[in-house]
Amino acid sequence: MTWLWRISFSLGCLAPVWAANVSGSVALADSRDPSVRRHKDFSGVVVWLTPANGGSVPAGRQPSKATMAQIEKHFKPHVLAIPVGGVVEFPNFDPIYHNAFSSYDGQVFDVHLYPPGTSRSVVFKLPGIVRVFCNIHPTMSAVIAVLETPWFAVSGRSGNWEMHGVPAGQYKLHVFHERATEETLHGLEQRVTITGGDSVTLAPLTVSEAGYIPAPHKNKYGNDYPPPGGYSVTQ
Amino acid sequence: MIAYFSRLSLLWKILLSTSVAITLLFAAMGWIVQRSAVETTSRTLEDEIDASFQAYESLWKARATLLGSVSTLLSTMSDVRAAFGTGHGPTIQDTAGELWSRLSEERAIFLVTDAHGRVMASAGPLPDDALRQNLDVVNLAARKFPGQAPGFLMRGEHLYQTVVTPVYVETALLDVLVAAYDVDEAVAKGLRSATGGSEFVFLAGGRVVASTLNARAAAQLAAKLAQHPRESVSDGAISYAARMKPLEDIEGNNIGELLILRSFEAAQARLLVLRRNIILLWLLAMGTGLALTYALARRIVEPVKALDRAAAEVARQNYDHRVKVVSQDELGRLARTFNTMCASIQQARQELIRQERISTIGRLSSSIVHDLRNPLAAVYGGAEMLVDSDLSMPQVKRLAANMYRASRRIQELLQDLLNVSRGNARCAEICKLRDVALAGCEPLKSTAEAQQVEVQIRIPEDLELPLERNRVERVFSNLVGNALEMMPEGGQVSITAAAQDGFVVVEVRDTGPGIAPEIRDSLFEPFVSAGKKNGLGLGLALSRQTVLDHGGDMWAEFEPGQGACFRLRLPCGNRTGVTIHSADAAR
Repeated sequence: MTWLWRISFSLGCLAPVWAANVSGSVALADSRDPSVRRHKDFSGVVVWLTPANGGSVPAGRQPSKATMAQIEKHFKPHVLAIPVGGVVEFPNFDPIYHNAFSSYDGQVFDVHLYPPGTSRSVVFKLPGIVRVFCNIHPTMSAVIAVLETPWFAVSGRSGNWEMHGVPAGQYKLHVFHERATEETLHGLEQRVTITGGDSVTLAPLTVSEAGYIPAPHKNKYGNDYPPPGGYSVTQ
Repeated sequence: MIAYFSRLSLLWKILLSTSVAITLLFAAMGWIVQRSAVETTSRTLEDEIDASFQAYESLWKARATLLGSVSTLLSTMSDVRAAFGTGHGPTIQDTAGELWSRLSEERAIFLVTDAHGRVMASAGPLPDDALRQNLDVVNLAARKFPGQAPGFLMRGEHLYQTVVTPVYVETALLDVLVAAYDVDEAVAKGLRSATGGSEFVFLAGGRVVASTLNARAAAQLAAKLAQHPRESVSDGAISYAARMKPLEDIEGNNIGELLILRSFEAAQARLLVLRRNIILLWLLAMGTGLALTYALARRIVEPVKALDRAAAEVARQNYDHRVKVVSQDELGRLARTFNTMCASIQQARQELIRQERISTIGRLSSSIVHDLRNPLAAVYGGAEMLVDSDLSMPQVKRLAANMYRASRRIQELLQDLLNVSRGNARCAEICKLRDVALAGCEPLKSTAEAQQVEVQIRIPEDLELPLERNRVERVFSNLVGNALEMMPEGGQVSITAAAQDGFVVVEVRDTGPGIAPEIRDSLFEPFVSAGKKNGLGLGLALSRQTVLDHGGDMWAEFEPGQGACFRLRLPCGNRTGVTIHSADAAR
């Protein structure tokens, strides 16, 4: 991985002077999630910049490719951000069949059940937050943020994020977290000005999970999964 | 036995009777109680085994229903159906197995096969690989599809309770769910604890597949029941009430049997305790009863013993003995009555002695008067003739001689009386019987002549006997005198004697009117007489007593139309040297 970093760094040096690396950190508050409360796991927060004042996004970029693997009955990574038109691969590393589907707002898709050791890919052409599930494993879920901008980042466990090649200018900062309400996320939107320089560090953000009500998702047929506690069978 | 019982003492009889009564009472009570207990126990056992059977049925039904419900639920769940659609074993197992383990009991087995019974996935504790092979049962169950098919399945060494459920996609049979429970020892033990101790034996394929008993005992019982189906069976040590239920496979064929057994052991133990209690109670009752009876019987028997001793004293003519009165009950009254009776007997005896004395004096006086009368009459008559008549010298001499003999007789009588009163023993002397008879008749000779009565004495001369001469003389004079009195108009008196078998039998016979019938029975009793002008009725009584005193006997013989006949039997007394010759002599 070290060489990748070196390449990135070189590219950064070669970039025009008005392009900068933007970084920042987020924290999650009011969470009921044990990993957040005990281990300060602030990963999975999507941050992206859109040009303010109706500025346009540079077009003609190569469609990106991303991978969301199915390992040990989990989607990894759990949160993925891709630009519109990006392709996501769903390789199945488990010894059992898996499925990936989304029936939520955003792009609806279904790759059907596919055997172990194979992969399915989906092109995400519509912007939006896509919630991904497996039809036969109710515990599996993932989020794919399909964004109309090339400037986005997903926070790591420490809450730090970083995006590269952001030209100087006025931007609107958007934030998404799967357990934050629409209102919270809307309130976190803010204008930022990226000035010239190698790197810009934005002020830390705190995303509150207050008001989040977990709701079980339906399977791809729109039915409930069996509840995790088991059925009580009437005789 | 009765004789032995009668020899026992009163106390032992009472104790024996009490113990027999208590034992009989307890035997009867024990029999009734035990009979009732046995009936109750066997009824309870029947109820228990019925309850066990019902418990088994409901438990089994519940399990089948649970398997069926879970299978149905799984077959209708979209994600499970989706997993089934892959036909991929691990995926099906992963999806359905997790659900299955959540939905069903841990011990349930879950198999997914294709439409032909090929096993694709399984979940739960499979006891061996026999279940992973193709399941023909699916093909058999297909006849009941789309419904579920429950039934028992024998696979390898194991018996399973199964429910086969089809999973359809549209109208095509996608997969088949086979839910099963392994019927093993744990199931049998579970049934036993659920039914409160009934034993369960599952038989299939000709052997015991699961049992709460040890395999050998279970096989033995099963073999016995197979030979003779009945409601109770024993393995040699323990008896059981038994009930059999066929185990049917999916098609309803009999593939084995369930044997429900209920041990008699507890019931028998209860009966044993009951018997022991009855025996203990019996021993207690015997102890108490015998102790009380002994105490009471002693109170009864002691006074009776005292009375017995008193009666023995009375028997020994000790009338002064008195019984101590210790109670106021019947025994007390008996003792008082006994004492009163003793006093009465004592009084009556003294009165009797007094009377006897008077009577003895009277009898003695009568005897003396009677015996003295004849010689006195001779003296009186002789003296009167001497005074009144002119008699020749020979007549005077004869009269004087008569008077002399009579007075001498009087003297002898008085001497006898003196001897009797002094207690002198009379002694016998050897006499010629003929002389004695003649001497006895001599004083009556004149009277006989006056009445023209012929007295014949035909006694052999040489017949000698040990006799008390005077008394035997009086016997002859008495008998001849009586005969003369009965024959005032003349007649004959004959006296004969003959020796017979060591005795001499003397016969005195007359030609008079005979003995009156009314006195025949009491002829020899004192003061009995008939047809006599004078006399006390003592003659025959004294005569017989004389003969009896000689060791002989005297009796009368009655012959109709004949006169009186008396016979005397006197012992010859050979030891005294008396010789007896044949009776050939004449008078």
